Amino acid sequence: MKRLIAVIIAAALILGAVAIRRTLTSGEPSADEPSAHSARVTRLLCAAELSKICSAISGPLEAEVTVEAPGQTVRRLAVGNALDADVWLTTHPWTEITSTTRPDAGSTTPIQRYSRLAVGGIAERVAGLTSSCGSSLTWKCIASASGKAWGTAGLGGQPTWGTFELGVRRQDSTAGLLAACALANEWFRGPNYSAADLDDTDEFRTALARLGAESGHSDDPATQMISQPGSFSAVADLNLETTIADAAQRDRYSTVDDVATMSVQLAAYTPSESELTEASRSQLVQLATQAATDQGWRTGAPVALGTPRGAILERLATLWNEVAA
Amino acid sequence: MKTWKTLGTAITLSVLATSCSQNGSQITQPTVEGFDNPGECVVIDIAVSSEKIDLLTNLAKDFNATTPKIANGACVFVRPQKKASGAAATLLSSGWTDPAEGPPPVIWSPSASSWGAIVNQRLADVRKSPIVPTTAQSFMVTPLVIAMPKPMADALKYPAQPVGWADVLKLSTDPTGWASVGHPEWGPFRLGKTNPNYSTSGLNALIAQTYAGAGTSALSLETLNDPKVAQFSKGIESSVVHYGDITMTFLNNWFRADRRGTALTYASAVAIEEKSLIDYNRGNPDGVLDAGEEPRAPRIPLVAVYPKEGTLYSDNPFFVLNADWVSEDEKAGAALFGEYVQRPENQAKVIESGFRPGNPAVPLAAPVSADNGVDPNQPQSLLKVPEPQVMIKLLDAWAQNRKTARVVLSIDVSGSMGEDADGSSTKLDLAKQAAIDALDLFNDADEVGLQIFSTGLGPAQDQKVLELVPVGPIGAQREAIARAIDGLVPTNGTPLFDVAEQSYDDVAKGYDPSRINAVILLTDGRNDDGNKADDVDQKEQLLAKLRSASSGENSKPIRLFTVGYGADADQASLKAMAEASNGAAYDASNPKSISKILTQVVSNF
Repeated sequence: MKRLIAVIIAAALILGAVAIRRTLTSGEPSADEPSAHSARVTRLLCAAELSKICSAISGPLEAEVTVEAPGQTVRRLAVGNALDADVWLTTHPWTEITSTTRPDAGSTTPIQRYSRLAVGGIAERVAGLTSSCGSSLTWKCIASASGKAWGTAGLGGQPTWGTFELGVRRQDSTAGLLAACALANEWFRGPNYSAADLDDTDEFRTALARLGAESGHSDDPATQMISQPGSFSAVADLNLETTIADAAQRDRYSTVDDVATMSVQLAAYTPSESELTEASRSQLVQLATQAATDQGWRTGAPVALGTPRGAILERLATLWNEVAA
Repeated sequence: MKTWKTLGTAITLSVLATSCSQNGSQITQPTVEGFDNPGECVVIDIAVSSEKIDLLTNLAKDFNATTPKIANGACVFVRPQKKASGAAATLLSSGWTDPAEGPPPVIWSPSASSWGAIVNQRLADVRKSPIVPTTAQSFMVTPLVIAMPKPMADALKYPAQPVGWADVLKLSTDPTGWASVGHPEWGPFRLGKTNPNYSTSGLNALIAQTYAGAGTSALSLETLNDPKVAQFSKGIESSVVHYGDITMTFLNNWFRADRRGTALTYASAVAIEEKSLIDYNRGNPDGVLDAGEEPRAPRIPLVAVYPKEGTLYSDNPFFVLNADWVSEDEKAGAALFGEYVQRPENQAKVIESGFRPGNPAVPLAAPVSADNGVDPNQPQSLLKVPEPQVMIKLLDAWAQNRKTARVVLSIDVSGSMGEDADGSSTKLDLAKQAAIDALDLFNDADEVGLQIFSTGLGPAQDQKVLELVPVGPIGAQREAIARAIDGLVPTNGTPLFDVAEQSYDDVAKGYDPSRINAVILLTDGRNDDGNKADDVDQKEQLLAKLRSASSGENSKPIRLFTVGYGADADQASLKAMAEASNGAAYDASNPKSISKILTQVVSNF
């Protein structure tokens, strides 16, 4: 008898649960019509170097992710094209350029996560380069050494190391643009130079060309340096410390602390035509903040942002594309 | 959401239906056991270069077993197919339209990224958009090395003394050969190098030697016009044993020579990938262990020489193609598989097979170790892959600089060649067309002659071999050879062993040490000269003669490249003959493959 009562109670509980579930879900659309949710899939455009962050947030955000080099994105926007996305996850220098070329095209939400452009590489070669540059490493010296043979009077080191090559990302990337900025800041003693300065200084253009030409057009120089030993003596990249720390042969590599460098800040750019709700934008910022932290981005700027004004940045990006072509 | 899923399923099924109907009309659809039932999953077809097909097949099976799903809930099914990098590049450049080549891939993993640049350049040449991304993570990597028998590396004092392409040139052009370093018994310096139009090792070796010749850290079109660079390349090519489409031909021949104690006079060095050298030293020269085959260490191991001028990696990228046949769902599925193969436990399998890991977080370990003849701390210096336009010019220049050939093409015209091949053509019809097409693959400077063989040939019907076109520069007689081939008709028997010997002797009479001397023997039968009783003796005598002539420091190697054509060809005897001469045997059991096979044969020159 007790067993029968228990079975009846269990059946009643199940039926009750089913009834409650039906009541709760009665407002959902039928299976044959698209749900309001599916109609609001967020179209997330992702700056190429941030693809791991975008990959981490795409699930919780239910976003369709498109990856594009940020330099290409700003060029598209500059000629009047639409972003073709609800939101663009990118970094500060690119939003700075866009706010100059298309001031009314959208708005930027800064995200409080930063990364610095670091220089590092095979420890003995970094030491050799630093030594050949004098007491500390400079961008001028790096550009000057690019393409020179190791083991010669000008560079030192071992002839078996081949030529010195600094791995730098493409001109269209954040790290690429920052490397050009770092060289320009050092060349013109700060970020307050003009477009005319950039155009009129042949020596600077030559140095910039060397930096680009010897980069080997790499898309991920730090990973390449580690997984394909011999590919680069050193690299300049964002989150380089994290990449090296994750490497199995991390002891073989070191970073340079005294080279003048700068930071970037994560940012979400929303085009004016976007239908992204404030709640969705807040969610994106929150998720991106966490994902960036997980991937080694910092809460404060390790060094000054130090980038020039948007119009000058735009000219610098264009110039590097020209001289590297 | 359900509507989209249903639509997705319908599209998937319709794609599958289309794919099945294509499969039904083809003959050589490559299939891999265990991949014939993707169900309703999104199928990720992946074209994989041959050296990693086993590895990726196993990884794909494991991946599929995990029932992976993309964001919309659809399951993913990865289906690999083997496709040589150069062949896949050609197919992708022309839209991969031939169903007989298998389904067009979502992921393409050639041996090296440079193939991707070549595809995009070829597409740009015909004003089409690029389909290969400029960036892709490496699945695994392996550097190009100059493999050298240990005694020879020791003679050059490697690794204490760095060795590079400049040293190869010096030895190649020194008339005293190895005597210049105190070893006259090793004869001249002999180099093995694959054809750069077909093989990544060959392409990388060509790039590396060109850098060495130019003495620069960047190659440009102007560099290639420098006579000094051409002279350097010609010098290196002069020592080439023969070319070919795969390095395994060299390694198999070397391994057999090693068993006979003649490894040092077969080849002095071969440009191969580090992984292949590890396989060789582990007793598995072709990297594939057949059922029951036990690895057996060579008597003389090879040493990996990392060229002092720098080298290149085969970086085995995972390209998710931006082609019009690739859907967003397929891209999402491809990304899942790309992430899966990078996991440390899967990268460990990469290392087990002799490659270096693509994931830098995975430590290098055995067998990539000194006891297998390699140095994990090398290479110290890498060379840049040139721009695509430079690569194409480089290949054009190679065609001018490569070692020329002196070849007798010997074609079987026995009665059985008149049998039906495909319902509309005889075996001889297909062979004739393939042979005529293959003539275009020779350089004008190559010397080529044509012979036919059967029984009862000639005016008195007493000849076994008939010379139709004497050996001469093909540039002047290509048309004449083509006309002669076109006029061939089937006749009588197949005096295989007699003919092989006679063709060999004919080439030997005009032996030219500055050329690759060879016989191409195409036959559909087995020895049938009217006297079966002496077949065994005939064969043994022939093999002994071929072995003897191709061994030793003063040998005048004449390579026999045999093509066993049709189902009745005596593949075993042909293989034995080819191996005895350190050539290569090709199996064209399927008559329809004859065109492709003859292309591979001519890649040796």
